[in-house]
Amino acid sequence: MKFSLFVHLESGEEAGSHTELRQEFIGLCRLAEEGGMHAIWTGEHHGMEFTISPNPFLTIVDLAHHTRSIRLGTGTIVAPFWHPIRLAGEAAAADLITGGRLDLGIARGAYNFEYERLMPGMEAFEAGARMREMAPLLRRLWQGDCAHEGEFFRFPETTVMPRPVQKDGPPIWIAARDPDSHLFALKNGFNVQVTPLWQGIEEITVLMQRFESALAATEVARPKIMLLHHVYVGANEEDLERAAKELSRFYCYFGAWFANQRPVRQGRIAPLSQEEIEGNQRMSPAAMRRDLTMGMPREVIDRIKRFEDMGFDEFSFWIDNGMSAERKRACLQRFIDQVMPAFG
Amino acid sequence: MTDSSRSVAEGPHKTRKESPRIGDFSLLLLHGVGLRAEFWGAQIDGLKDRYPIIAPDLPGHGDAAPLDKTCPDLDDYVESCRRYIDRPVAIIGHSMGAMIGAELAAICTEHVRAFVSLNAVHRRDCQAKAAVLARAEGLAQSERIDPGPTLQRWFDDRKSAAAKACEGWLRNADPKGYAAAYRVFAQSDGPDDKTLEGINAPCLFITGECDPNSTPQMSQAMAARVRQGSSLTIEGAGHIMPLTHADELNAALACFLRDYTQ
Repeated sequence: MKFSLFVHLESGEEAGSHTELRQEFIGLCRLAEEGGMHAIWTGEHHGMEFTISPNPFLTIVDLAHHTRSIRLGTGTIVAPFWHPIRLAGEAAAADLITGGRLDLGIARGAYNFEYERLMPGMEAFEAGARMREMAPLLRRLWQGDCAHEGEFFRFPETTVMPRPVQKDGPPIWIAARDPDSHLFALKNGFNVQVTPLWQGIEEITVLMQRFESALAATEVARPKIMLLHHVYVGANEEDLERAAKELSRFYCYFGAWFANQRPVRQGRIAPLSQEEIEGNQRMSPAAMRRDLTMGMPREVIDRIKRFEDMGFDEFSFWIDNGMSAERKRACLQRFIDQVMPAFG
Repeated sequence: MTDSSRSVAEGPHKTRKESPRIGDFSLLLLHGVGLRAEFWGAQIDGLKDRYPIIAPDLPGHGDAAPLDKTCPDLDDYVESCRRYIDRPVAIIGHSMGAMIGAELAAICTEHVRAFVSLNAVHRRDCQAKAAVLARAEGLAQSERIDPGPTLQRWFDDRKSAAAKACEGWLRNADPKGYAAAYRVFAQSDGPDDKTLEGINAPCLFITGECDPNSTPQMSQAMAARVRQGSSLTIEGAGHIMPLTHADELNAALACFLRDYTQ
């Protein structure tokens, strides 16, 4: 099992300056590299202090200068906000600057908050269709002299510059959930990222079943599949209890951003009241404790061993959780010291 | 006879009385040839807290009376099960139960919210067709049931708990009810295009990787025919997947019912 860190700048309850957030972010990434993790993933979000990352390539180039050899991935590019020539070109440039360390994760996006600002009127279905048209063009654009006439894009013969460093270009990963997106990824030779978000083993089982079924249907060589899940390794039981509350709060806010019904001022969503947070049964601390990759080190090891047995190649530690920088760092350190050594 | 799940399903043709109200529909579970409602024990345990469950015995099986005909056809079984669809349901059918379920889903479009087909057949090849018809012929000739060959086909390990449970159900089955249903099962080739195209509800077709007679390709082909369909293959599972791979199957059922019945 390979391990990676999935991380963004995010505002906490009392956010410090963004200069501080960047320093803390770089610190976590350096700790991940020193601790022997395989990759860092960071995504694309617009206009929200909840997750701050307008262009993951900028972040990745920044990290390239603060780390040595850890792989750097977009987790993920929001496909409908990009033109294939621009995406292929910027990815190739990032691959060049990072010395061939780039992995390119692509998704259709999730937040209506972003859709209605960057692509007003676009339905989620179209976002998926745009991703399906764009992603297969990237390798052809890196190979060169690619012309295209499609539903969303048309262009005459084009070779993007610079040339990527990695042979055949950076590996492409698709964030998949429904059976069709698994099929799409496999048919095109892409790797797969899945996330059950706040859900647990039941959802993870099904995500893997969909991958396996798509594999059986396409009969292609098995690509890699990565599981992205929130992790918390407790220092003790009280610490775990506190973390479960913090993660519950994080997912209540996640749900509020997703629902896109509360006012947003200065990039911050109208605060949730204590009653609203405690009334959200689906995201209760008990549900977090049960379903996320949470526990004392032994329990976390056991849970990840199960994912390994299911066939996941990479486990990505999602560390955005609304906790303080100190708590994130201490938890990541416990993961590195007490969980990772159990995996060869 | 194993009676543990019957207390949960409250016997043939009955709904659980204290129905939970998470979904606004009930689950209708239809078992296959030679089995009975208890076959669904693991699914009932796994899903009873989320949905009301109706798990009948098929006619001529378990405690249910046989159909009032010497040579019933598939429509007779369908008609007999139609009475459970007097409310919104999601149908989950296994093997012959899936054949019946597909027809019901195409007829009762108003009440069927979702259809899950487990280990179902669709357009058998010549060899499989000949084999299943020969088995039906053999059953029609015999006075009593020898579960040996069936268990051989279903299980690698005849000593497993699942195999023993099936053996008990098959041994206690009514030979006439069994033969009548098997004849229908053998003569039907699974839902035709008209039936599949007539299903409005979202569908999920699941089979086991190691189910030689209900192959993943059959499930994929059916999923491609319905309006809203997807298919899943459960690794290492054979025909009696609901018993042998209950955790994996229950996860697939729970997520599908949650995601596709909004």
